[in-house]
Parts: sequence; C-alpha cells; structure tokens
Amino acid sequence: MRDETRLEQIRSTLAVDGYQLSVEEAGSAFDVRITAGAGSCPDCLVPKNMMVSMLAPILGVGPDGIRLSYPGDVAPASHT
Amino acid sequence: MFDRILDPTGLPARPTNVAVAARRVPSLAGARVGLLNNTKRNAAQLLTELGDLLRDRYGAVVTIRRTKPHVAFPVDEPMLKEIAAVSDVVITGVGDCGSCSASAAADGIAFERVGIPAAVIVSDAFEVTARAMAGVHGDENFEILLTPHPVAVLDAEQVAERAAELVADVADRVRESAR
Repeated sequence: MRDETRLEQIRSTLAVDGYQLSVEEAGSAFDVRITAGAGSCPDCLVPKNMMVSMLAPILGVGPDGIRLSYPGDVAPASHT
Repeated sequence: MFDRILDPTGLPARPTNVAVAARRVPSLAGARVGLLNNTKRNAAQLLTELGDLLRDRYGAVVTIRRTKPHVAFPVDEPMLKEIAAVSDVVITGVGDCGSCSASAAADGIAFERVGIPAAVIVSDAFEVTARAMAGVHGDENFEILLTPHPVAVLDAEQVAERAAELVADVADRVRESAR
C-alpha cells in the first residue's frame, strides 16, 4: 500500500530543485517519471538506484516493482 | 543537459556498512575543528560563522577549511584523511539540494567511521533525501542538523543569524557532555 504522505514529501523535495514526479500504477508495479521544469538543477537529482531505494518502501513494492524514468531518458526503464 | 546523472553515494553496489558513531569530544575547549564546504552558495560563510562562534563561545579552534571539488559527490579519501588528521570534530554542509544533501549525509557518516564526530547541516526541504542516504549507508538514525530552506538566498546578516541559531546544536552534536 502506497504511503501518500511520504510520497508527497518526495514530490515536494524534488519540486524544490525544479523536478516533477508522477506515479502510475501498472498492475503490481509502478511507472515513475521524473521530469525537469524550467530552471531545474541538473546536478541536484540523486542517482536512480537511490531514488528507487527511497521510493520502494513508500510505494510498498520491491525495487524491481518500480520502472523509473529520468529527464533525458527515451522511455521508462528499469533502474538497473 | 541531462547527459549524466551523478552518483553521490560513493558506495559499491552492495554496501555492507553498519552504523558507527565516533566517540564525542569531552569538551570543545581547545578542540580542533575542521570545516568542509560543499560549494553550495552561503555554505562557506555559514561554516566560517559557525567556526567563529565555536571559538568565541566554546574555546574551539578551526584548524582546516576545505572545499569539495563537486557538490554532489562525497568527500574523497585523501581529503577526508587530510581533514581528519588535524581535526577533533568536523562540520560539513550545506545540504541545500537533493544530491548535495545526500552527499553531505554520506560525508558525515564517513567522518564518524574514521573516528571524527561530525555535524552535518542540511536545509529542511531535503531532510528526506539526507535521511535516505544515511539509510543507504547503513545508518538510518544518523543525526542531521536541520536549518530552514533555503540557505542559498540569504544575505550575509541572515547567514550569521542562521549560524547563531545552529551553533548550540552543532556543539551538542559533537561533544560528549551533551549526549
């Protein structure tokens, strides 16, 4: 079960650096997309493996249950 | 713009770290203070102000000031050793963005692991990221000192005020008598 409060904390933290977070449930997994807004800080985004480790307990799935895409990715991809 | 995503963890793929806290100093009187600036705007001034306050209020002395080559990466081993060799306590920050708050937490844990009590300063907007990094390093309860976000936009007088607000917590973080 996803923790909406903590998810909002992550969303707010990303927004401070100019990023937006969207999460879509896809069966037993989640498609998570982080996009860059105007003036986003290119060096301020944590690496994917860390983002997945932060999101996994919040979304209530293991790391394999998250397909994460970052700005510049062509399509949602596994964090590995 | 996004041709690379920096990895500030400084960790192998499977970290095996466990929480290790350095022994706190009995007193700050005469204690040697190392300042590690992560290059974020106002970090250098905030650390300088804290060093001055630790000197004036507690009798500590700043022995070394270093600046990380990159805000998003943890301190490298040569710099860590250089600072640790002449410091009894270390103050580092300011975690004022996602990756830099994460690397600041990693820096603090690295100093603790080599026996140097560390005060890590992070702006409250990035507490989640800093704590996540501490967890990645096996120390999810690592104590982080928070200051209101943002720090980068403060003027000199406001930075000095922040330092005055933080100094007691910094002292309590690194000395034995307050723990």
